[in-house]
Amino acid sequence: MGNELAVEVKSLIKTYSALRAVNDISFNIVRDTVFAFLGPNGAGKTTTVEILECLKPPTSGVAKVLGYNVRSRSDQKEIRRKIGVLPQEFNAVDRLTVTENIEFFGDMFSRRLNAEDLINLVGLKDKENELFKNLSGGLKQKLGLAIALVNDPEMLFLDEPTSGLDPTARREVWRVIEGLKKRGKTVFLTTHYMEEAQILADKVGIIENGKIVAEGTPDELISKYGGVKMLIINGGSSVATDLLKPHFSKVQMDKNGDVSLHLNTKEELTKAILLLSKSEVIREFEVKRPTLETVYLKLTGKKVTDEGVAQ
Amino acid sequence: MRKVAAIFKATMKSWYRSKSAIFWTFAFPILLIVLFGLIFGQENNTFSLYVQNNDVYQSGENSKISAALVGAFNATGPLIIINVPKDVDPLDYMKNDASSSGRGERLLVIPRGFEENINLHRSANVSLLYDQTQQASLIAVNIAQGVIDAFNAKLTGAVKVIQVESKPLVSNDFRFIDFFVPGVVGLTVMTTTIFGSIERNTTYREKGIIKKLATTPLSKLEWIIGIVSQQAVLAFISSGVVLTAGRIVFNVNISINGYFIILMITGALLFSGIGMLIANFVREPEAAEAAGNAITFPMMFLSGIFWPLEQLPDFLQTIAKVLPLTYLSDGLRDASINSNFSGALANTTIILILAAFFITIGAMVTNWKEK
Repeated sequence: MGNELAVEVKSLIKTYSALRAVNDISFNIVRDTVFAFLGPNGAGKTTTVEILECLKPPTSGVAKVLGYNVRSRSDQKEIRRKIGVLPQEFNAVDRLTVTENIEFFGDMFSRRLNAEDLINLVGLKDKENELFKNLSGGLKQKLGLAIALVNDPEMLFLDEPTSGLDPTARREVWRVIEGLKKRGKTVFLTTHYMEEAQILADKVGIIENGKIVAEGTPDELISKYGGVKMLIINGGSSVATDLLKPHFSKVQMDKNGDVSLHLNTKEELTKAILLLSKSEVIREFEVKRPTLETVYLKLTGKKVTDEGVAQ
Repeated sequence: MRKVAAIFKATMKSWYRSKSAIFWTFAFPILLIVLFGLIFGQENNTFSLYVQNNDVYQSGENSKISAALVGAFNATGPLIIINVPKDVDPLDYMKNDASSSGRGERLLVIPRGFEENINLHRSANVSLLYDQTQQASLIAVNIAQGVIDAFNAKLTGAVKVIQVESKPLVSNDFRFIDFFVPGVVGLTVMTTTIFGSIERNTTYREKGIIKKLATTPLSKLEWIIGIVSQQAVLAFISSGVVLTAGRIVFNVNISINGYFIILMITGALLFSGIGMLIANFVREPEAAEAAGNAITFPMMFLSGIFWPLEQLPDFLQTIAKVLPLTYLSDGLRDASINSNFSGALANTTIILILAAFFITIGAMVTNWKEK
């Protein structure tokens, strides 16, 4: 992996009347990596992406895609030629088939990939003659990915690619994105699903109210903000609490009777397991690693729902 | 060019895969021509006129001058004279007969002593009563008035023979329905393209397809030309339906020549361009129909499709002269029934200039990007 930059953003600001949707953000995306912009609805993710796609002009700051400046008209033409875009809530032409839609959008470029190859790539072979309007949400997103790839782009922008999909369809789309990652595509992904960012991204930027509040690899963010591992004793109730409390300060029991214990070292884990093994009642426990969700909660004090709302 | 062709191909495919779109492309023009043809084309170019001649000699014969006046009405051609018996109330007779026969209510009563008054150089009045709510009455009364004027002129010696000078507006044996069909073709071209362009734009915008296209190298002008050309083909199909229905239902026989075809194409380009321009100001598909109606309705009624512009008040005539549909319907009539090819060419030129203007302005104001 080299260090050549695909995206350079410096002091980017976008305002709508009194609202500052993007508030002085800076970040870089290295070529051939997946960068995830993580945040709830209205955080400024789509505005930033649309500035980079040349759909919206920035109010101030610098934004470059593949070395081209989004403010320059001649550079915008080059950017459009070289990027692939899956917009939020993607739609294609209702009464065209999967193949026809790929060919239609492909005809907008001077060079395009074979529709059949793209259909195979995203796993739509058995739906190639189906009209767009008859596809399920997951299949529509897969077609959107195929269309985003139709010009064999150097960089892909995927705006909330799995939003509103059921868990099965979401994982199918992830598999396609993982395939793109293996093919060495640079991907800018926006999402409000923590798990999605953690699984797919090489680097994550957490955005809140138009500002990037943290940036790094998922591991870096977790180790920096996620805190410690936790030992969860399912159904441990007062037995576990009684065993652990004399030796550990952070022992908590929830309303279901599950007991959690914060662990700072491996030695603490060994000690806790030894203590719990004295009880014949306790049969099940697990070590839980902190996730990006923990990071987000720590940084913003909020959780993001499946609908993308911060609470 | 490949991008324009792709848009054309995609939108045509979308059209022929939509059963309702196909139905309305054919059904609307048929409805239009049949309905309006029946409304406006029934009386053709003849108008009934009830006449009660009360000016008789003692022998019971009609007076010579009154008989000559009735003969002059008969000689015009468009006026069909229905004689009302002398011993009945003429109004009652006319109303009864008109309601059973479907004839228009127009009555001329020649009073007793009509010839005597003329011979004594006294004023000799005739009564002309008509239903002013019927459009045909206005035409019939105008003709009758023309006959009376000519008759007066003869009596005062200014003109040597009794005659109604009639100058045909249309060539050969064309009927009103023949005059009407080119206007309906113009109307079909306008409604098909304006509604189609606005609907296509608002739907694609709402679905985010335009935004997706804006991330590709497609230009705004290529997008507009693609949609305009597809709408032009649909307008061409609809116009073909109007002409075919006119031929089958009303035996319309007008001349479809090169000028007529070119006018249909340029008209479709012009109105699609207007539609694309209007579409910029219509955000929701639900508002598309209202916007289309707001544009097409005034033109429909003020561009001489259903009645001659001369019948409109002066200020509406001035407005009509700036409405593009006026030039299209005039041009189509010049080409197909008036054999006025210089007129057709002049109207084609005006339409082409307007089409270029609206398509260019449409491309300039179309904003794919948000502020």
